[in-house]
Amino acid sequence: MKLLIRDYLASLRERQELDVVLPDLLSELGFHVYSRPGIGTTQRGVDIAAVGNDNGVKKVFLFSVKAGDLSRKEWNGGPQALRQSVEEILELYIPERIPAEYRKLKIVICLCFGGEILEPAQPLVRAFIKKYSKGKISFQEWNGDKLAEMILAGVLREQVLPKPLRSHFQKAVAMVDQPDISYEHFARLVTTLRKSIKTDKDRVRVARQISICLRVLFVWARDADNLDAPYRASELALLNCWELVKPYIGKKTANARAVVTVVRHVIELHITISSLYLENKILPYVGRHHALSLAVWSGESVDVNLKMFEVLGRLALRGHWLLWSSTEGGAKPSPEQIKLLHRLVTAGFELIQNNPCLNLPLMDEQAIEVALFLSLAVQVGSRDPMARWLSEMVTRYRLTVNGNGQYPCVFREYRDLIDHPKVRTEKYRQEATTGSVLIPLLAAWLTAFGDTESLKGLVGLKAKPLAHCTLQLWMPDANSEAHFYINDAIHGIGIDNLPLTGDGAALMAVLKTAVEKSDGFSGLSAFRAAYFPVLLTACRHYRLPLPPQFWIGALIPDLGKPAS
Amino acid sequence: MLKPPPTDAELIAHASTGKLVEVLRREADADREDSLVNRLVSLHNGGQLDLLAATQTPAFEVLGVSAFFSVQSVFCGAIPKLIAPTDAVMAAVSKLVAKGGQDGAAGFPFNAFKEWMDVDTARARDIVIAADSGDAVEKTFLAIALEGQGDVAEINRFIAKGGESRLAAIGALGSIKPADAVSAQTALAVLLPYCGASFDEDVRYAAINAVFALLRLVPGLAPSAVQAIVAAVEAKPTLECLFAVVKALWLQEKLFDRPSVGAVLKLARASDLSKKGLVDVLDGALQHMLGTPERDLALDFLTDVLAQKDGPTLEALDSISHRLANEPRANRFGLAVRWFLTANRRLCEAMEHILTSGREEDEPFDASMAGMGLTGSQLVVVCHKAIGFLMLQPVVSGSVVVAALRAGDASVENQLTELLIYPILTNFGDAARGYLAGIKKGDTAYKAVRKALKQSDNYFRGIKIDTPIKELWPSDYQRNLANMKRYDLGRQIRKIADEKSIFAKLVQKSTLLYGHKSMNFVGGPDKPPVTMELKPMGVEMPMPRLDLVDPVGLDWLLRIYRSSTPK
Repeated sequence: MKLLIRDYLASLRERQELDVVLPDLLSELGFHVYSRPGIGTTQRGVDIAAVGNDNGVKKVFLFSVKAGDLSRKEWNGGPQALRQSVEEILELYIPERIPAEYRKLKIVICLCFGGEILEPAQPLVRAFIKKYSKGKISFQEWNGDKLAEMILAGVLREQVLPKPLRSHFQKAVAMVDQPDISYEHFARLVTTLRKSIKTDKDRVRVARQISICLRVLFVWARDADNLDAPYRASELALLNCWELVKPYIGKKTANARAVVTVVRHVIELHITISSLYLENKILPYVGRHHALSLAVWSGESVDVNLKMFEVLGRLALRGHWLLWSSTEGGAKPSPEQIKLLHRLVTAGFELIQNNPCLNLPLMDEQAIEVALFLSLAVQVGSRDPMARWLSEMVTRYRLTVNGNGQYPCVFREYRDLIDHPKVRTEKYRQEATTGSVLIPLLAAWLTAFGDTESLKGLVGLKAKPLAHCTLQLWMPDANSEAHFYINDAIHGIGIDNLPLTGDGAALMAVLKTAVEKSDGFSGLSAFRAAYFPVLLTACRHYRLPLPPQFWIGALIPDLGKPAS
Repeated sequence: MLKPPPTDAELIAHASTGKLVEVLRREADADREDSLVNRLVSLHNGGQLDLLAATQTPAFEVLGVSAFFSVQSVFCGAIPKLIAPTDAVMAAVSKLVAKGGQDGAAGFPFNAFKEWMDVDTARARDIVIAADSGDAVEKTFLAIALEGQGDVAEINRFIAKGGESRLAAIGALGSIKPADAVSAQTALAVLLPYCGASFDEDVRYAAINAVFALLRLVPGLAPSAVQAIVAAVEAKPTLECLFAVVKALWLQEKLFDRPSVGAVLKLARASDLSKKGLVDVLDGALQHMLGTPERDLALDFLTDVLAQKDGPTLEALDSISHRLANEPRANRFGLAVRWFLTANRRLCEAMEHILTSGREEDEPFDASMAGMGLTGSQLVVVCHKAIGFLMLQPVVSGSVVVAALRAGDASVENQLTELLIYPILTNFGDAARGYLAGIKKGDTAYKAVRKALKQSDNYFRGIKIDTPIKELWPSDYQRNLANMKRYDLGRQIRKIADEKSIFAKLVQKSTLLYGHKSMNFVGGPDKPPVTMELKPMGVEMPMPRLDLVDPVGLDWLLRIYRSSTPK
């Protein structure tokens, strides 16, 4: 276990990665962290400042953090070197910045790095420490080994992470190249930790545990060049952390602040993983015809379809998080953020164009990805490509249903999908298309785009070959808040038997009324706290259709803006 | 190891239990003194067993197809040498013929019966007397007997009697070689009226067959006789008469002049082509005509009937289908252009059948559509059809596009080039590329082909991602399920192939679980074994890339190409 943590610490590439972990570690060990790393703020060489006990003596601990091993160059090789930071601490921070209440305390300057001091740098560091260790100032070396011990003695100590849970954690990390298995272990770990909560303190500790475990998993997976497991784990982690933060929304206690901080860190980590995944693995290739489809490296078209829709959903969700972060607290998005948003939407359309299996879902539930992308694209006003995509989808829908081809089905099990359509009979088709959320979704958007031709195509499908199919949409209800983020029970309300007519008016009227009368959605904590992407993440992760509240506003202007 | 033939004692024992047929098997050398046939004849004529009675046992009834024809061969060898009452021989022959069903070899026992009858003239006489006195004698036996006697006056007497006797006698009259031209004319004069519309179906059928049998012996009578028969059938076309004429067209095509051939095919076109018997003889006639000056008539007829909604499919016409599939490639190319151009789905499917069942699997046509007088739109349609119906033969379809490019129609050059890129090269990089890269400078299609190859190379460069994207890979669970699916599919295919294999029914099958060589002591432990090196055998074909990345789009594309029509 220690080896695993030490390797994780040594693999941290960015100084910020260690910065984020360290305050939580210190807090969990009983330190009071009074200064955290901030972006763009100058702290006179101090990355983290805390007050804690050192062999029974209360001292101020000032941390200067570097990633990886400490070489001669990193010790004294320029303005960003550790020595320069420590000199700043000695000359500027200690005299001027220590809060008044701590000024009388002894000071420990901690040279903190994920790896170890490399041999060539050791004499230089020792000489420096010897020179400046005097009076109330002393130095400590917090290397990877010490940090690992602290993690195991603190946030992951055996009392709070017993052997079975450590085993799940270790397996999750060891199996990063088999994301299904890795995720399975991580999910068990998270669920068990969450269920173990009895007190508010537990709640903070569990949030930190989830966070640190996710970080370790991410770093290992990044080294293995496979981000799938941490991507999925990060969604699960943030949803579970949201469940932990719910009682503290609007409160300002220390515990509330601590959990909120962890949730923010987990969200940031999720966005980091998502960005890394998209920027390195997906976006460079969206413009190449068939390239990503063939990168699925499978002989089965079902694999290509499933993966491409997954990519589209992840891309859309990244866009929603970007939209959220750029408008948080009523802020206006910066030109860079707007540019990035446009880039993501454009990439989405390129992805669709160059990977044509995205023109028709194989599973009805892939309506989730369709809705995620539509609700993002509509924010940048890409109506024409959206309309073309939906029209193509209807054409292919009709072609496959009428020709008993690979039409969207209700099956979710891979063994069913790989055989779909198992037989080309009416009976099988009825079984495979008992219900649909995709058709009403398409119908609503086509109505808004005024594409009556495609709408007629859908009406024709529903009139005959899919007459048995229950058209429906899903919305949260009063019970949803209790289950939405952890998916421990069925919840929400299905609006069924939606009308489908040539002009789509009846459907829109029903949707409008249903949305107006629904209070389940507005009762969701993530909505009230204006963290709408948490809900989108839950929908994607737990395979729940996107509630129409996320997109109906874009289609019926007098309903106001969409939830996002 | 092969079983040794049964001993005499074993034959007698099996005969006594009614299971003699179970040990009868065709022998390679039946002329040997101690061959199975000769020993059976000897045992039968010696009274130690009753060979003919074996045909009346339950064991005979349950014989499988391949076992039966082996047994039939033994009987056909033995019957001419047997000493037995006429009734018993006729009963055994009837059983053997009936058991043969519709197979072409089912009638062989009648030949054996004829040989048996020729051994002793009294045998034919007895049959004729029996028939004359009103005993029930199957008409084929009577015909054989009358033919054996060769007495024309007697035959004419039987013709005059009417009924089954007339049918037998008409058959006999056609089979007797006339002594001279006058006799031949006389016989023809007797037979021709019975081809007329006033007689019933059976009589006309027998008469037409008899006339053609006579013409085989005296071909000089053909021109007027064939015209008379065709006129008679035209006057009142019936299925059986048509069957008889078409059969003659197949087996005695030289007797027919061009107008008669045209008339017969016209009658056939207007008839009920759902009847398998008629379709089978037509199939034979047409495939024979392909090698004659009447080839064009055969192809016109085939084009007409295949295009009909309720007409036969090419699969039902297996002889001509096989013949067309193995004709020179230039002939096939011409037919492909002709049929694809019709845009008739049935004809296109027939062409697909021809081009996918030949000896060569995916060999290009070295052809050009220049000089065929096709418009740009027609060139494109032919290519659409070639791609749509020959998707799994990219080299063939590619060569059709190249042939269209060679027509040099600038108005559609870009369109045709696009077809080479997408879907041909995109779907089948290596398979099609090799052929297209071989198109030489100076070829009219060269420039367009180079352009297509260049764009295709860009596509292939684009799909290459150097670092694998592990996040996109299916899980081990999914890969395992996919492998299981492929395994099950493979087993299913092998099972169907086994069921449909004609060889599997004929040969003994051994399955070797280990080793790379088989050793079989065929002749017994004291003889040297036969060893056989085992070789791997397999079939592979390229699958279109779009089937993986865009199966719905591919399906759609093929539908569009298949339903494409000239403007």
